[in-house]
Amino acid sequence: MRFDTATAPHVTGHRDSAALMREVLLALVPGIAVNAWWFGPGVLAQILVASASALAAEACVCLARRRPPLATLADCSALLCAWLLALCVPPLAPWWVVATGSAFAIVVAKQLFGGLGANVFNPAMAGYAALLVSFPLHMTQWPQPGAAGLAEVWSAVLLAAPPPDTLTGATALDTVRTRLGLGEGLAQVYAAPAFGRAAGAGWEWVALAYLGGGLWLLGRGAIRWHIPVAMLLALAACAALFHLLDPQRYASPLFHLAAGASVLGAFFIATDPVTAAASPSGRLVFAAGVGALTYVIRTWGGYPDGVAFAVLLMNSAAPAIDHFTRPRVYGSGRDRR
Amino acid sequence: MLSAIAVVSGLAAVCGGLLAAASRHLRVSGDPVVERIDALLPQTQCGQCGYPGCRPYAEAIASGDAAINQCPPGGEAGVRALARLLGREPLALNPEHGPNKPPQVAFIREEACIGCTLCIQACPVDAILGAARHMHTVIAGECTGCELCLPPCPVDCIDLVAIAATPDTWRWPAPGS
Amino acid sequence: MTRPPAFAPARPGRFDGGLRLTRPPLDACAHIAPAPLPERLFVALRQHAGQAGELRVRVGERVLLGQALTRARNPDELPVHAPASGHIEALGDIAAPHPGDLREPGVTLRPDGLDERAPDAVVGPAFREREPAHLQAALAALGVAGLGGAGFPTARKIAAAGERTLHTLVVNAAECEPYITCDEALILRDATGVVAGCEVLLHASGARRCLIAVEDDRPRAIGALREALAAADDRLELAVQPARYPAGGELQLLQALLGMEIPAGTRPVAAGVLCVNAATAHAAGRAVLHGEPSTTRMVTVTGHGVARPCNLLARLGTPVADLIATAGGYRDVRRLILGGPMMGVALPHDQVPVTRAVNCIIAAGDADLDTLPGEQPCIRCGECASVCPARLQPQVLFAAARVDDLEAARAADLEQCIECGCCAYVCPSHIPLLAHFRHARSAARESARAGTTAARARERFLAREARLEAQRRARDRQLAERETRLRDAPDAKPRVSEVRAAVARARRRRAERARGQ
Repeated sequence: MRFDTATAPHVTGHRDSAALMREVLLALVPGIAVNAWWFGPGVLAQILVASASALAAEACVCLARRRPPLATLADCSALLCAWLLALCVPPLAPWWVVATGSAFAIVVAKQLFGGLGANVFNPAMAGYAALLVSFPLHMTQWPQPGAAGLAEVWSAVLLAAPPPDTLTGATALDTVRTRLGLGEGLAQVYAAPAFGRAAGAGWEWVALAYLGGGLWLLGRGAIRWHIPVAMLLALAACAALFHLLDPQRYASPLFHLAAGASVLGAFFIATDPVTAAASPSGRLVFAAGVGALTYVIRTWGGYPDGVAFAVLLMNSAAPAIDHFTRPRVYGSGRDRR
Repeated sequence: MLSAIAVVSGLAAVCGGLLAAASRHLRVSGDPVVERIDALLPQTQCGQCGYPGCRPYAEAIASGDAAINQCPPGGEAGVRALARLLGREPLALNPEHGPNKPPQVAFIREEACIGCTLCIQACPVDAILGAARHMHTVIAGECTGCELCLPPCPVDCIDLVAIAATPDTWRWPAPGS
Repeated sequence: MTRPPAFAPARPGRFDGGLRLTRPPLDACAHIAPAPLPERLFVALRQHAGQAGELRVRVGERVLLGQALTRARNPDELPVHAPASGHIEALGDIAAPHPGDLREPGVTLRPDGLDERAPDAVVGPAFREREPAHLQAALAALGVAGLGGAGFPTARKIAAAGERTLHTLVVNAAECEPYITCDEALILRDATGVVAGCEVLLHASGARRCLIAVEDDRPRAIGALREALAAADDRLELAVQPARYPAGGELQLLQALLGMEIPAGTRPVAAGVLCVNAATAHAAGRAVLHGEPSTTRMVTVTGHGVARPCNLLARLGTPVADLIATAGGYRDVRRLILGGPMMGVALPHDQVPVTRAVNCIIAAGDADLDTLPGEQPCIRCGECASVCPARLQPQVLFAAARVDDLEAARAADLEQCIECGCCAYVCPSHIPLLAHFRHARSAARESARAGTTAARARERFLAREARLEAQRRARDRQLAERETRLRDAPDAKPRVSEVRAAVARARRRRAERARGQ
C-alpha cells in the first residue's frame, strides 16, 4: 500500500490572505456609508469606476505576464487598492481621474514591481500622489456636506461636467492652511460654516465610522495594533506639542485626528503589510514616522493632506527599518548585527 | 606662489606616503579571486572543462580565458555560485563539456583486473591502491568519480556506480518540484 | 555566555512565539499494551546520533533476547541488542522509516518466541554506591540513547559536560504535538519506572535537582507522576507547563523552565543542564536497575485512519504494518505520518521497522488533514515571525530559500530554524515554508559536506602534483649529474675503466664469500 507524501505541517491555521482582504473591504463599508450620507453618492460612483478600472488593469497585466488572471483577481488586493484610492478622490471628480489613478496604481505601482507582495510603495497612495500632481484642480474640490445629490453626481462624475462652484469648496485642512497663511487666527477659521465639532463638518463622522471599522479589524485579528496606535499617537503628539506652543497658529490634536485621512490612513492604508515594516518594533517606528510626517506635511507643506506622502516616504524607509529592527535570533550573541 | 607650490608638494608628499604605507600594509598576497573561484569548484579534477584540473580552470576563469559554464560536475548550482561571486550573468551549462551526473564512485571488478597500474597513474587524487600484477582497488571515500581511470584500462574492468542516498546524505526535495 | 544562577531563573514561564493547537478527539491512551511479537524483526544497526558499531553476529546464528548484535569500538558508536531471541535470517540493508524511502544496514531476525534472555551485569537498586562513571558505562553498554527523536547516546551526553558540574536534570515529558501520547502512555503504564530512571540519571550525571516537565493538559500523567514522586528522592520535582506548541522542543523547554537561552552551536550541557526525554529516563532506569538493554519503545498508533487508536510497547524492529494490524487495521487512510502533524514526515509505505526515533504513527484520514488552497504570494504580513520560537524572520528566509541562495539563508540564521512548522501553519498565503526550509537546510548540510570532500580532493590532487613534480625534478637532476660526470671525467674512456673496476669488485666479493664458507 502506498500513501501520499505531502510535507509537514499536515494541519493549518486556516488563515487566508484573500479572506483578510475581504475583511478589510467589509470594514470599510461603514465609513463609505457615512461618507455617502454626508457628501452624497459620489463616493459610490468613484468606487465603482475605480474598481472596474483596477480589475481591468490587473487582468490585462496578468494576461501580458502569462499568469492566470482569475486567480490573481480572486486575492481581492486590486479591489482593496481601488477602494482606498476612490475614498481619497473627491466624490465629484470626473470619472477619468479615478480611472487613470487606479490603472496607474495597479500597473505602475504594483505589477511593474512584480505584483502583490513585491511592490515597494503602497499602490493606492502612489496612484493618489500621481493624480494629485497631475490634476491638482480636480483633486482639491470637495463637495459641501449635503450639497450633492444623484443628479449632480451623474453630471459631474459620469459626464465629467465641472460642478458649479456653489457645490464644492476646500476641505477643512485646506481652509486652515490657506487662511492661516493670510494671517488669520485659528479661532476665526473655525467659525467658518464648513467646520463641525472637531474638524470639517461631516469629516469627523466619517473618521468615526472608519475608526469603528478599524477596531473591528483589530478585534478580528486581521491587523495588529502597532501601526494604527503608533501613527495616531505620533500625529497627536506632534499636534499637541505645537498646539501648546501657540494655540492660535497650530490646530489641536483632536482636529488633526478627525480631519483628512488620519483614521483611514492609520487603520487601512499604513497597515498594508506588503509596504510596511515587518517586525512589531519596526512597525512602531514606521507608523510613528508616518504620523509625524503627516503632521509636518499638513502644517508646513502645500498639499491638501499629508497622509499619502507620509506613507510613501515611510514605504521607502521600510527596508532600512526592517534591517535595523531585526529581532535578535535565538541563541545568537547580543552584539551581533 | 611659493606657498601654493609648498602646499601642493606637501599634499603630494603626504598622499604618496599614505599610498606607500597602504601598499605595504594592506597588500594582498596571491590572487584571491583564483582562490575563491577554486573554492567553488567541485575538485573532481576531471578535466572536462578542458583544463588539467580545477585550479588551472579557476585561473583561466580569473584571467577571462574560460567561461563559467564549463564544469559539468559543479552543475547549474556551481555556475550560479560562480556567477554570484564574479557578478556575471548565470549561464546554462555548456553541453559541449558533458552532462551533469549524480555523484558517482569508481568500482574495479576485481576478478577482471590484470594489475597493469595504468589507472593508478591516471587517478588525479591517488584514490586507487595496488601494485604491478596485483589486483587494484578504489578507496571509495576518496574517489571523486572523475572517470579519468576509464580510458586507460585495457580490460574495461572499472565501472562508475551512482552513490545511493543514505539518511545522512538525503536531501529534502524543493517544494513544488 | 555565563551560566545563569541555578535556582534564580531569568524569566521563566514562556518561550518566544509558538501556537496553541487543539488535540484531536482520539484517546490513544485508552489502550496501552505490548505489541505482539512479529514474524520478523528488522533491527537497524544505527539507531543513534553517531556511527554504527561493528557487527558481531553471523547469518544463521541463534541470538538471545538482549544479546549485543554490534559492538562499539569508540564513543561515537553504540551497540544495538537483539529485541527477541531467535535466529539471524539476513544481514544487509533493510528499509528505513524515512520519507525518501531509503535503505540502511540492519539485521533481519526471526524470533523463536521463547524470549530467552542473555545474562547481563545488573547494577541494581544499590546504584547510589557506584561511581557515576560506572553507571555511564552501563548505559553505553546497554545501548541507551535518546528516545525523543535525535537519539543522542545518553552516556555521551553526560560525558560531554566534562569537568563542568551539571546543576539541573530536565526530564522532558512535554508532548506538545497533538496526537503524540507515547510519553504519557509510558507514564500511565509505569510512572514509578520513569521516576526511578530519573533517580538513576540524577546520580549518573551528578546534577543537583531534577525537573520533570509535563504539559498542563495531561491531568492523568500529572496524577500518576505525583503519586510516584511521593515516594521518591525529594530532589525530583514536577514542573507543569502551559500546553503550547512547541513546549517540548528542548530549547523552548529550557527557555520556559529556566529562562535560559542556549547559545548557537553549543549544547545544554555546556550551560549545566542535562535534558533527556521521559522515555529515555525510563530506559536508563531499566538498564541500570534490571540490566535490560534498550530494545523497546512506546509507539502511539493513532489517527482517524486506524480502527482503534492505541499506544503499543513495541520491540525495536517491529514493522509498522504489524502495529497498524494490532491497532485494528486501516480505515479510510490517506497518509501515513511518522511523528506529529506539525513536524511529522509522510512515509511512502508501511513496510518499515520501528526504530528508536519512531514515537508516533498517524494513519491520517480526511478528518486529520487540512487541504491547503493554492499558494499565494507572500504579503509580508509578519505572522510567521510572530510565531517563530527561534525569533527568525521566515519571510526573509523564504525569499532566500526559494531561489536556493544558501549564502543569504545562512546570513538570515537558517541554522537556528528548529523546523517546528509554526510559520507554515499560520501563513495566510499557504506557502509551504517548512518544506522550503527543510530543503534549504539539507542543501546547506550537503553543500558543507561537498565542501569538505572537495577540500580533501584538492589536497590529494595538490599532493600528487607535488610528488610528480618532485619525481620529475629528481629524474632530471640524475640525468644532469650523469652527463656532467661523463663530460668532466679525466680519462677519455671512462666506460672501460668503470667496467674494469666493477669486475674487480665482483671478483673480490666472490673470493671473500668462498673463504667464508
